[in-house]
Amino acid sequence: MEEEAETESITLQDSAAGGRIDGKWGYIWGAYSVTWVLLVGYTLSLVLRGRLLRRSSGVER
Amino acid sequence: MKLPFAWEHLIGVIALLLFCYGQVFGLFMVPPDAHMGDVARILFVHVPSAWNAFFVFTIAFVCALGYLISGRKGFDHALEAALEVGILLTILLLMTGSIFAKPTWDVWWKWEPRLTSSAIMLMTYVGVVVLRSVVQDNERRAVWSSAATILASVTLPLTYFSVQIWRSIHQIQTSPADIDAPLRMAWRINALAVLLLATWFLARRWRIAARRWELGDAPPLPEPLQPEEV
Repeated sequence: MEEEAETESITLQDSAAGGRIDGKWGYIWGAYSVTWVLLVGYTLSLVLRGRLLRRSSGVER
Repeated sequence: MKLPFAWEHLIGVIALLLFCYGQVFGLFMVPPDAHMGDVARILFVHVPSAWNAFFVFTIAFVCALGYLISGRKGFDHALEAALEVGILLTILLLMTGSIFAKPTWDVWWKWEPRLTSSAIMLMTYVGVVVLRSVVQDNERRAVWSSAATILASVTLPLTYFSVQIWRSIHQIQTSPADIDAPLRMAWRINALAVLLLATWFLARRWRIAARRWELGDAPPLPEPLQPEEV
Protein backbone atom coordinates (compact mmCIF):
# COMPACT_ATOMS: atom_id res chain seq x y z
CA MET A 1 0.00 0.00 0.00
CA GLU A 2 2.78 2.39 0.95
CA GLU A 3 4.54 1.73 -2.30
CA GLU A 4 1.34 2.43 -4.24
CA ALA A 5 0.79 5.74 -2.41
CA GLU A 6 4.34 6.80 -3.21
CA THR A 7 3.85 6.03 -6.91
CA GLU A 8 0.71 8.18 -6.98
CA SER A 9 2.49 11.07 -5.34
CA ILE A 10 5.31 10.88 -7.88
CA THR A 11 2.83 10.75 -10.75
CA LEU A 12 1.08 13.86 -9.46
CA GLN A 13 4.35 15.73 -9.08
CA ASP A 14 5.45 14.70 -12.56
CA SER A 15 2.12 15.79 -13.98
CA ALA A 16 2.48 19.23 -12.46
CA ALA A 17 6.12 19.44 -13.57
CA GLY A 18 7.26 19.42 -9.96
CA GLY A 19 5.20 22.37 -8.77
CA ARG A 20 1.96 24.28 -8.99
CA ILE A 21 0.84 25.32 -12.46
CA ASP A 22 -0.14 28.99 -12.48
CA GLY A 23 -2.16 30.87 -15.05
CA LYS A 24 -2.77 29.02 -18.35
CA TRP A 25 -6.17 30.72 -18.70
CA GLY A 26 -5.99 30.26 -22.47
CA TYR A 27 -6.46 26.50 -22.01
CA ILE A 28 -9.29 27.05 -19.53
CA TRP A 29 -11.18 29.40 -21.87
CA GLY A 30 -10.45 26.98 -24.71
CA ALA A 31 -11.99 24.03 -22.85
CA TYR A 32 -15.08 25.99 -21.78
CA SER A 33 -15.51 27.39 -25.32
CA VAL A 34 -15.28 23.92 -26.84
CA THR A 35 -17.94 22.77 -24.37
CA TRP A 36 -20.35 25.56 -25.35
CA VAL A 37 -19.72 25.13 -29.09
CA LEU A 38 -20.40 21.38 -28.90
CA LEU A 39 -23.52 21.67 -26.75
CA VAL A 40 -25.04 24.62 -28.61
CA GLY A 41 -24.15 23.01 -31.95
CA TYR A 42 -25.85 19.75 -30.97
CA THR A 43 -28.92 21.64 -29.72
CA LEU A 44 -29.20 23.42 -33.09
CA SER A 45 -28.81 20.12 -34.94
CA LEU A 46 -31.68 18.65 -32.88
CA VAL A 47 -33.92 21.64 -33.61
CA LEU A 48 -33.12 21.58 -37.34
CA ARG A 49 -33.60 17.83 -37.69
CA GLY A 50 -36.91 18.04 -35.82
CA ARG A 51 -38.16 20.77 -38.14
CA LEU A 52 -36.99 18.95 -41.29
CA LEU A 53 -38.74 15.78 -40.18
CA ARG A 54 -41.97 17.64 -39.36
CA ARG A 55 -41.89 19.24 -42.80
CA SER A 56 -41.12 15.91 -44.40
CA SER A 57 -43.95 14.09 -42.60
CA GLY A 58 -46.36 16.92 -43.48
CA VAL A 59 -45.60 16.45 -47.19
CA GLU A 60 -45.85 12.67 -46.84
CA ARG A 61 -49.28 12.88 -45.30
CA MET B 1 -52.66 18.89 -15.90
CA LYS B 2 -51.43 19.05 -19.48
CA LEU B 3 -48.49 21.34 -20.17
CA PRO B 4 -48.70 23.64 -23.22
CA PHE B 5 -45.22 22.41 -24.18
CA ALA B 6 -43.27 19.13 -24.12
CA TRP B 7 -42.23 18.15 -20.57
CA GLU B 8 -38.55 17.99 -21.44
CA HIS B 9 -38.42 21.74 -22.17
CA LEU B 10 -38.94 22.39 -18.46
CA ILE B 11 -35.89 20.22 -17.73
CA GLY B 12 -34.03 21.98 -20.55
CA VAL B 13 -34.58 25.43 -19.03
CA ILE B 14 -33.52 24.26 -15.56
CA ALA B 15 -30.48 22.54 -17.13
CA LEU B 16 -29.45 25.69 -18.99
CA LEU B 17 -29.73 27.88 -15.87
CA LEU B 18 -27.87 25.36 -13.72
CA PHE B 19 -25.23 24.87 -16.41
CA CYS B 20 -24.59 28.64 -16.66
CA TYR B 21 -24.35 28.84 -12.87
CA GLY B 22 -22.03 25.81 -12.77
CA GLN B 23 -19.74 27.35 -15.38
CA VAL B 24 -19.51 30.68 -13.51
CA PHE B 25 -19.06 28.82 -10.21
CA GLY B 26 -16.26 26.67 -11.64
CA LEU B 27 -14.52 29.55 -13.38
CA PHE B 28 -14.68 32.32 -10.79
CA MET B 29 -16.03 31.17 -7.43
CA VAL B 30 -13.79 28.20 -6.67
CA PRO B 31 -10.20 28.73 -5.44
CA PRO B 32 -7.38 27.30 -7.62
CA ASP B 33 -6.27 23.72 -6.95
CA ALA B 34 -3.22 23.36 -4.67
CA HIS B 35 -1.21 21.42 -7.30
CA MET B 36 -2.74 22.22 -10.67
CA GLY B 37 -3.72 25.83 -10.04
CA ASP B 38 -6.42 27.34 -12.26
CA VAL B 39 -6.04 24.64 -14.92
CA ALA B 40 -7.98 22.29 -12.61
CA ARG B 41 -11.09 24.30 -13.55
CA ILE B 42 -11.13 22.35 -16.82
CA LEU B 43 -11.96 19.28 -14.73
CA PHE B 44 -15.35 20.83 -13.86
CA VAL B 45 -16.44 20.14 -17.44
CA HIS B 46 -14.18 17.15 -18.16
CA VAL B 47 -15.22 14.91 -15.26
CA PRO B 48 -19.01 15.57 -15.46
CA SER B 49 -18.94 14.79 -19.18
CA ALA B 50 -17.15 11.50 -18.39
CA TRP B 51 -19.65 10.49 -15.69
CA ASN B 52 -22.60 11.30 -17.92
CA ALA B 53 -21.11 9.63 -20.99
CA PHE B 54 -20.79 6.40 -18.99
CA PHE B 55 -24.32 6.83 -17.64
CA VAL B 56 -25.85 7.45 -21.08
CA PHE B 57 -24.01 4.50 -22.63
CA THR B 58 -25.33 2.37 -19.75
CA ILE B 59 -28.84 3.53 -20.73
CA ALA B 60 -28.02 2.44 -24.30
CA PHE B 61 -27.03 -1.00 -22.99
CA VAL B 62 -30.30 -1.35 -21.02
CA CYS B 63 -32.34 -0.22 -24.05
CA ALA B 64 -30.55 -2.68 -26.34
CA LEU B 65 -31.25 -5.49 -23.90
CA GLY B 66 -34.84 -4.27 -23.50
CA TYR B 67 -35.45 -4.31 -27.27
CA LEU B 68 -34.00 -7.80 -27.73
CA ILE B 69 -36.16 -9.14 -24.88
CA SER B 70 -39.42 -7.30 -25.52
CA GLY B 71 -39.24 -6.11 -29.15
CA ARG B 72 -40.86 -2.80 -28.13
CA LYS B 73 -39.92 -0.05 -30.56
CA GLY B 74 -39.68 2.54 -27.75
CA PHE B 75 -36.47 0.83 -26.63
CA ASP B 76 -35.00 1.29 -30.10
CA HIS B 77 -35.88 4.99 -30.14
CA ALA B 78 -34.22 5.41 -26.75
CA LEU B 79 -31.21 3.40 -27.94
CA GLU B 80 -30.79 5.65 -30.98
CA ALA B 81 -30.97 8.72 -28.74
CA ALA B 82 -28.58 7.34 -26.12
CA LEU B 83 -25.97 6.32 -28.71
CA GLU B 84 -25.83 9.82 -30.18
CA VAL B 85 -25.85 11.69 -26.85
CA GLY B 86 -23.23 9.32 -25.42
CA ILE B 87 -20.97 9.96 -28.42
CA LEU B 88 -21.42 13.72 -28.01
CA LEU B 89 -20.42 13.53 -24.33
CA THR B 90 -17.44 11.30 -25.12
CA ILE B 91 -16.21 13.76 -27.77
CA LEU B 92 -16.56 16.52 -25.16
CA LEU B 93 -14.71 14.33 -22.66
CA LEU B 94 -11.81 13.68 -25.03
CA MET B 95 -11.53 17.28 -26.24
CA THR B 96 -11.53 18.83 -22.77
CA GLY B 97 -9.18 16.06 -21.59
CA SER B 98 -6.80 16.83 -24.43
CA ILE B 99 -6.84 20.56 -23.59
CA PHE B 100 -6.21 19.68 -19.92
CA ALA B 101 -3.34 17.35 -20.88
CA LYS B 102 -1.32 20.04 -22.64
CA PRO B 103 -0.53 22.28 -19.62
CA THR B 104 -0.33 19.36 -17.16
CA TRP B 105 1.39 16.58 -19.16
CA ASP B 106 2.88 18.83 -21.86
CA VAL B 107 1.24 16.79 -24.63
CA TRP B 108 -2.16 17.05 -26.33
CA TRP B 109 -2.52 13.28 -26.52
CA LYS B 110 -0.78 10.23 -25.12
CA TRP B 111 -1.48 6.63 -26.03
CA GLU B 112 -1.78 5.56 -22.41
CA PRO B 113 -4.45 3.07 -21.21
CA ARG B 114 -7.25 5.49 -20.17
CA LEU B 115 -7.02 7.70 -23.25
CA THR B 116 -6.61 4.75 -25.60
CA SER B 117 -9.56 2.81 -24.11
CA SER B 118 -11.72 5.98 -24.23
CA ALA B 119 -10.86 6.46 -27.91
CA ILE B 120 -11.67 2.80 -28.62
CA MET B 121 -14.98 3.21 -26.74
CA LEU B 122 -15.86 6.24 -28.87
CA MET B 123 -14.97 4.53 -32.15
CA THR B 124 -16.93 1.41 -31.16
CA TYR B 125 -20.12 3.39 -30.54
CA VAL B 126 -19.56 5.43 -33.72
CA GLY B 127 -19.42 2.04 -35.48
CA VAL B 128 -22.84 1.13 -34.05
CA VAL B 129 -24.31 4.41 -35.34
CA VAL B 130 -22.78 3.79 -38.78
CA LEU B 131 -24.32 0.30 -38.73
CA ARG B 132 -27.73 1.85 -37.96
CA SER B 133 -27.38 4.23 -40.87
CA VAL B 134 -26.78 1.49 -43.45
CA VAL B 135 -29.67 -0.82 -42.47
CA GLN B 136 -32.95 0.37 -44.03
CA ASP B 137 -35.49 -1.98 -42.46
CA ASN B 138 -36.69 -0.75 -39.04
CA GLU B 139 -36.90 -4.12 -37.27
CA ARG B 140 -33.66 -5.44 -38.70
CA ARG B 141 -31.85 -2.20 -37.79
CA ALA B 142 -33.17 -2.39 -34.24
CA VAL B 143 -32.06 -6.00 -33.74
CA TRP B 144 -28.62 -5.57 -35.29
CA SER B 145 -27.83 -2.35 -33.49
CA SER B 146 -29.06 -3.73 -30.17
CA ALA B 147 -26.72 -6.69 -30.53
CA ALA B 148 -23.87 -4.37 -31.59
CA THR B 149 -24.55 -2.06 -28.62
CA ILE B 150 -24.35 -4.97 -26.18
CA LEU B 151 -21.01 -5.94 -27.72
CA ALA B 152 -19.82 -2.30 -27.61
CA SER B 153 -20.74 -2.12 -23.92
CA VAL B 154 -17.70 -4.29 -23.15
CA THR B 155 -15.66 -1.11 -23.59
CA LEU B 156 -17.47 0.59 -20.67
CA PRO B 157 -15.95 -1.35 -17.74
CA LEU B 158 -12.70 -1.65 -19.68
CA THR B 159 -12.44 2.14 -19.94
CA TYR B 160 -13.68 2.81 -16.41
CA PHE B 161 -11.26 0.40 -14.73
CA SER B 162 -8.35 1.01 -17.13
CA VAL B 163 -6.74 3.44 -14.67
CA GLN B 164 -6.70 0.73 -12.00
CA ILE B 165 -5.77 -2.23 -14.18
CA TRP B 166 -2.90 -0.51 -15.99
CA ARG B 167 -1.49 2.26 -13.78
CA SER B 168 -0.20 5.03 -15.97
CA ILE B 169 -0.09 8.83 -16.12
CA HIS B 170 -3.89 9.35 -15.87
CA GLN B 171 -4.93 9.63 -12.24
CA ILE B 172 -7.23 7.06 -10.68
CA GLN B 173 -10.82 7.81 -9.60
CA THR B 174 -10.89 10.31 -6.74
CA SER B 175 -13.01 9.84 -3.64
CA PRO B 176 -15.22 12.87 -2.81
CA ALA B 177 -13.76 12.75 0.71
CA ASP B 178 -10.35 13.70 -0.73
CA ILE B 179 -11.62 16.86 -2.41
CA ASP B 180 -12.16 20.24 -0.73
CA ALA B 181 -15.80 21.27 -0.32
CA PRO B 182 -15.89 24.14 -2.92
CA LEU B 183 -14.31 21.95 -5.62
CA ARG B 184 -16.65 19.09 -4.74
CA MET B 185 -19.60 21.47 -5.02
CA ALA B 186 -18.45 22.71 -8.45
CA TRP B 187 -18.20 19.12 -9.68
CA ARG B 188 -21.64 18.23 -8.36
CA ILE B 189 -23.37 21.31 -9.80
CA ASN B 190 -21.81 20.75 -13.22
CA ALA B 191 -22.49 17.00 -13.13
CA LEU B 192 -26.18 17.63 -12.35
CA ALA B 193 -26.37 20.33 -15.05
CA VAL B 194 -24.85 18.01 -17.68
CA LEU B 195 -27.19 15.20 -16.54
CA LEU B 196 -30.23 17.46 -17.02
CA LEU B 197 -28.91 18.66 -20.38
CA ALA B 198 -28.35 15.05 -21.43
CA THR B 199 -31.93 14.26 -20.37
CA TRP B 200 -33.24 17.09 -22.59
CA PHE B 201 -31.07 15.87 -25.48
CA LEU B 202 -32.25 12.28 -24.99
CA ALA B 203 -35.92 13.27 -24.95
CA ARG B 204 -35.64 15.46 -28.07
CA ARG B 205 -33.59 12.85 -29.92
CA TRP B 206 -36.08 10.16 -28.84
CA ARG B 207 -38.87 12.11 -30.53
CA ILE B 208 -36.84 12.39 -33.74
CA ALA B 209 -36.15 8.64 -33.68
CA ALA B 210 -39.84 7.89 -33.11
CA ARG B 211 -40.88 10.10 -36.03
CA ARG B 212 -38.29 8.48 -38.30
CA TRP B 213 -39.59 5.03 -37.37
CA GLU B 214 -43.11 6.15 -38.28
CA LEU B 215 -41.88 7.45 -41.62
CA GLY B 216 -40.15 4.14 -42.29
CA ASP B 217 -37.51 4.48 -44.95
CA ALA B 218 -38.66 7.90 -46.13
CA PRO B 219 -35.87 10.41 -46.71
CA PRO B 220 -35.73 13.35 -44.29
CA LEU B 221 -36.43 15.88 -47.06
CA PRO B 222 -39.26 15.77 -49.62
CA GLU B 223 -38.29 14.50 -53.05
CA PRO B 224 -37.97 17.25 -55.70
CA LEU B 225 -40.96 17.55 -58.00
CA GLN B 226 -40.69 15.92 -61.45
CA PRO B 227 -41.02 18.24 -64.52
CA GLU B 228 -44.42 16.78 -65.50
CA GLU B 229 -45.78 17.41 -61.99
CA VAL B 230 -44.90 21.12 -62.04
